[in-house]
Amino acid sequence: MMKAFRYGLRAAARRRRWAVLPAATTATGAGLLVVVLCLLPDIRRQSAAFGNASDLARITVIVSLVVVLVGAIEVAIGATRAVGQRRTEIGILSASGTNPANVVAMILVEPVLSAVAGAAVGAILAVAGIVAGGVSGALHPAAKPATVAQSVVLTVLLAAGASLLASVIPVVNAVRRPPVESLQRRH
Amino acid sequence: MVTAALEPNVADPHASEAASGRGRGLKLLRFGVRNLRRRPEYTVLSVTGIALVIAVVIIVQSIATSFDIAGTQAFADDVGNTPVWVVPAQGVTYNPALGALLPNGAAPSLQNLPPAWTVRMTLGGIWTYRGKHVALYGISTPAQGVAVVSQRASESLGLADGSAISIGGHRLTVRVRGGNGTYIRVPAGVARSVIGDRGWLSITPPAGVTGVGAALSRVPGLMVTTQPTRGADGRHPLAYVTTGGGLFTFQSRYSAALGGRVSGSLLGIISKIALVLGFVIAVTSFLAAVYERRREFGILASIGLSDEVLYFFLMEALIIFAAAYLVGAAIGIALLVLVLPGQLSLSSVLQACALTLTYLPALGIFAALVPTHRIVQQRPADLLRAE
Repeated sequence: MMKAFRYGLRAAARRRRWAVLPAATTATGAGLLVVVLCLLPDIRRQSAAFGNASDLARITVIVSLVVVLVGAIEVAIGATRAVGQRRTEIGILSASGTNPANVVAMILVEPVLSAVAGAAVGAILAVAGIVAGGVSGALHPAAKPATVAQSVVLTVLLAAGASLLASVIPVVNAVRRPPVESLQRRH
Repeated sequence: MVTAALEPNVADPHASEAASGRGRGLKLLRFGVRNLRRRPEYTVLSVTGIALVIAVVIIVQSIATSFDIAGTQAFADDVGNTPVWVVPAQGVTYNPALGALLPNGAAPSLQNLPPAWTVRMTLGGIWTYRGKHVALYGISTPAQGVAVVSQRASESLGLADGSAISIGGHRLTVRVRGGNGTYIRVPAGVARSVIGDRGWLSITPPAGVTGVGAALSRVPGLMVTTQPTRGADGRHPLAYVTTGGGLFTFQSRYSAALGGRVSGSLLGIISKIALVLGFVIAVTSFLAAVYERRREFGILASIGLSDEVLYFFLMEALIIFAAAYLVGAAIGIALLVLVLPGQLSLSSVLQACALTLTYLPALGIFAALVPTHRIVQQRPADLLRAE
């Protein structure tokens, strides 16, 4: 499995340009979720101005969670595209007797890595924005460092988990395909 | 596969032109459905991603529309068509659960008002009766010993017309009247005994008086505005001059400002970002489809059907966006029902769904145009060489 992981890492590095858009989408969703979780007391105050603090704050958190899922879907679309582009490679690996679980792991490294990298970048940018907002006086972040750290870890784990779940089906389907079919010229 | 799907009249452009528009549209629809079924993973992921975005937009839009609609009704019920509405320095809040506007601070005390001007104080606050919240207003005009109860409040609190209610130790007779909010109107003294001095003022100058704003600006410590978007600054009471304002009434502009505040909040910003991500998903998915189908489009281009490619993508975009809209609307409504049960009216949700539907054609067309542009930039020979 470690070999598969290293192979996946090398392939992901080779194909890094394809990971930019999924990572950027995940970064956007993750950044929003970190902002929402860190500024929850402020959001409650803002929601109280509308007359309904708890429900509106809850819906804000739900909506930002959904945006993280949208990022995960984009990662899964990237994984589906990767499967199409690496069809021959998958066929060769399957034909040479590589364990299907290892092939799945190799292919999944790319989407999971792009999701984790994107979520981490988004979360760091969000925290930097919150700190900058606090220093300039534009924001009054009441979140403690522990809350911020928890939000970042939770967001990165959520983005990675959702991306893994969304990507696993197209990858498994591709690996299940008979090697002969994968190696055939398309159309 | 392509030629089989299109049948003879697409292979012959003249025959295609001769065919009726409806028949051609149906053929394109069938072709689009077959192509989407050939790539179920892209189709499911695109529909799910765009559906999630649509759900987000519908949720935020429903809340904003609800504030807009209910704010109009609440303004008419609670403030009416007073020429000048003076709110406390702490401002007023719209409570969506009760459908009522409520003051956040003590009713302002004004000096140096012209003597002939009529000033009416309305006290307001939330009162709990039988474990349920209701907006309680104290005004000087209703008959003593009477509590005017809105229809919604009478249903919620189980109060029938003519029954008795005790508020702050005062026994009052219930009179059920129309109105959209959940409120009870009682004499000011009764209201003061349970909700305190929170309130606002309604000022009416004598008929024919002009320069209302100028006269009010001479009142010490009073801010004056005709803009409903402006809120009190926390230090000075604010007088809204509600007369004039052109095409729209102050009431409609005030409620639109309530809805606009939702759109401008973090919630609104998130929904706008989600919309952009939905567009990215659509374009990415179509670009991936272009990459996989280069040879197919090379064949079409080589037999002179380059223009048809645009129609294929438009039809596929239409199918994906239509499916995503239905799924997204269902998710959005389900989340609204689960998280904000009974707080949003059906009309606001339907308006939000209709409004969201207006964005989609533009998104779908752009999402189809970007990959089509890529395809038409390439020579058929290059497309046919693709592996």
